[in-house]
Amino acid sequence: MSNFAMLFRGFSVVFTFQNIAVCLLGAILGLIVGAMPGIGSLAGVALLLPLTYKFNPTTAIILLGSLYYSNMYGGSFSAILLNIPGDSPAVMTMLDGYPMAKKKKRPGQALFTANLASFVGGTIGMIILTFLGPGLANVGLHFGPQDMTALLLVAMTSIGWLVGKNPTQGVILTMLGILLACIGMDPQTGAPRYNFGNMYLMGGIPFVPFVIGTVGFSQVLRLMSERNDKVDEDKMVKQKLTIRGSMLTGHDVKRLLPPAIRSGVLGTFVGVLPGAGATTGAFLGYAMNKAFKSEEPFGTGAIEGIASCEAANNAAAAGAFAPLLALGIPGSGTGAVLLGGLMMWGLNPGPLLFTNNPDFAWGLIASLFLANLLTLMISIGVIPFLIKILTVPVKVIIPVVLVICMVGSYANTYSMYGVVVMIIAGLVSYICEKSGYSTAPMLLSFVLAPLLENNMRKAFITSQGSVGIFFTSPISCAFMVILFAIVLTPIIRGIIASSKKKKEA
Amino acid sequence: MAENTEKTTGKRGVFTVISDHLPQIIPICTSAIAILWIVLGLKQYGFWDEFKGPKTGFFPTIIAIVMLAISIFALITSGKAKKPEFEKENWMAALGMLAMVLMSYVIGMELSILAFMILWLKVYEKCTWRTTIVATVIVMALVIGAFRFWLGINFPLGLFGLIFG
Repeated sequence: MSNFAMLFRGFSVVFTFQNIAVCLLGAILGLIVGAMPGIGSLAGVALLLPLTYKFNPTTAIILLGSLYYSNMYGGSFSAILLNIPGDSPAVMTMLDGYPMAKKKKRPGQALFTANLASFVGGTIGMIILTFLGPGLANVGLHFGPQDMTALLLVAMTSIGWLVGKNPTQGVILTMLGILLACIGMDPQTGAPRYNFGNMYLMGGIPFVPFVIGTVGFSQVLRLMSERNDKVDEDKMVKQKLTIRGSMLTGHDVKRLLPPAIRSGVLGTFVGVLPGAGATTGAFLGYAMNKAFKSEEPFGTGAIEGIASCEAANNAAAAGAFAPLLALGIPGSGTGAVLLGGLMMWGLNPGPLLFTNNPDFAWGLIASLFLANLLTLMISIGVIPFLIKILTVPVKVIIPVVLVICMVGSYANTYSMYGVVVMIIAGLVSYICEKSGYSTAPMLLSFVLAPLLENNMRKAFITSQGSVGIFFTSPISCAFMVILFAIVLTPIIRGIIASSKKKKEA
Repeated sequence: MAENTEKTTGKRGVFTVISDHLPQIIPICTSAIAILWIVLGLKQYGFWDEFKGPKTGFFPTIIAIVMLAISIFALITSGKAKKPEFEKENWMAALGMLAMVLMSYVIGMELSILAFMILWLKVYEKCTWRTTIVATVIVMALVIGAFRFWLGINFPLGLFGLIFG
């Protein structure tokens, strides 16, 4: 069956009352989470995980997928109206969004531009995903265990390289995530390991409390020092917002479309790369479109500027689903949580997902199309109420998130063990983040560790213990070269820098 | 003046020392974890079987060796790392969480959440009664409606629940 036929089959899966309702719920929650400064899509998806236990896997992933996706819309609201980005991709939106809203007194149109560009970018990303996902899966079918091992190692280390400031620290937390995942039982023999005689550790570290702690609880600890920050009244856009007053003219739409389409294509391919994600997509989309003609210069409130980054970040969010579904490799922390969720429901994303669970894979892709449309409608509908949503004080959000962290962790394990795991994970993550260690690589490697162990062991059994197997196939050989480059570059750079300093001294 | 205060208050001094040395403490901790994993992997779980191939400790040991090497490198280069700064109020959320957990053993989880929300918003944050009540009602509706009734989670009743329930 062609990809479009499969996509229509996916729509038939999505179009049930329950799935449309959860898609709508995810879109609304994603917009709120994205709009309120401080929470972000990663914590939003993590906190919502426990509420999906009751659903079947397809419905659950539709809820999480639409939340993740619509979050990309919400991040731009505070960037445009308050000059505060709701999430990191929205930093680029702020450059033109805020001047358009404040100086040109067109806040409604700035919001509408962001929403429409997000829709265009997202749609392009999803159309490309429709072809790229199964294509990647076909490529993945030819991968042997040594190729998968090398690919997983590249994915794990590259996110540490791209996300944090210091790649060495990223690699340390990547390894730590793998070691933590080894606690419990040997996935192949069932033999207990690293449980230190503790009954709870026999079952391993539970994924949901670990994720909630790492991203939810640690985020609250960080937010504590920002809880009394007040929105600068002078900076805030005070104009009354109405839907009718926010409509774009035909000329505005003409200006918006070309950069949105260019960014949509670029952003999708950026999203496919591990670790690159929506922020890099937004940055590159903006930089690329700056080279093209625009009616007004970028940075002064140009519609083209808003469209460039908003289309790119939504396209990247869609593109990130391609390696996640086709190869089982998430490109970001949020992707890792989604992957963990899929595994929790007994699904194994990877090359066989499109063959073994077509309803699920195509249902998810179809739900992204639906979420895109629903989010566009909702995000236009909420324009009149945005200022109120955006000014909910952080000090009220903090205890609410704390309670959700505790209840969600308890609900996963039916015991205080989950809560303890969540607290420890949160404290450790907070301390690490404060010290410059990004915890996203730890999450990613924690989720991917069983897959890596399985493939690595198979590869070594085949080669009877020879490392040479990773250099026999061209695929794994290429990945190993990339891996060495990723791991060795920061080390060599560090040595060169310290020897230069010594010479200067 | 600040130095004198730090010297006279022992606790603050300990925290300052720890946070000043965190760039070194973190790689030391990860090195220690790696060594423990290597020792257990090699001694207790086994690395390689001549006929069956990789044993239970094979994979964790390899990863731990890599982590140990990179942690040592991070430790050597940690001198130039920026020292993190912690504010006292950041830890209040952790204390609030701990209080909620401990209270769950006494009055049960749902009541402890109710008490926490009111005390946190009204006493600690000095919010208005309106804000406190609205936020508490929303949270309790989520906890009882979604988690207890919809997901069927039985929250701990605590000592009170055991006595009076």
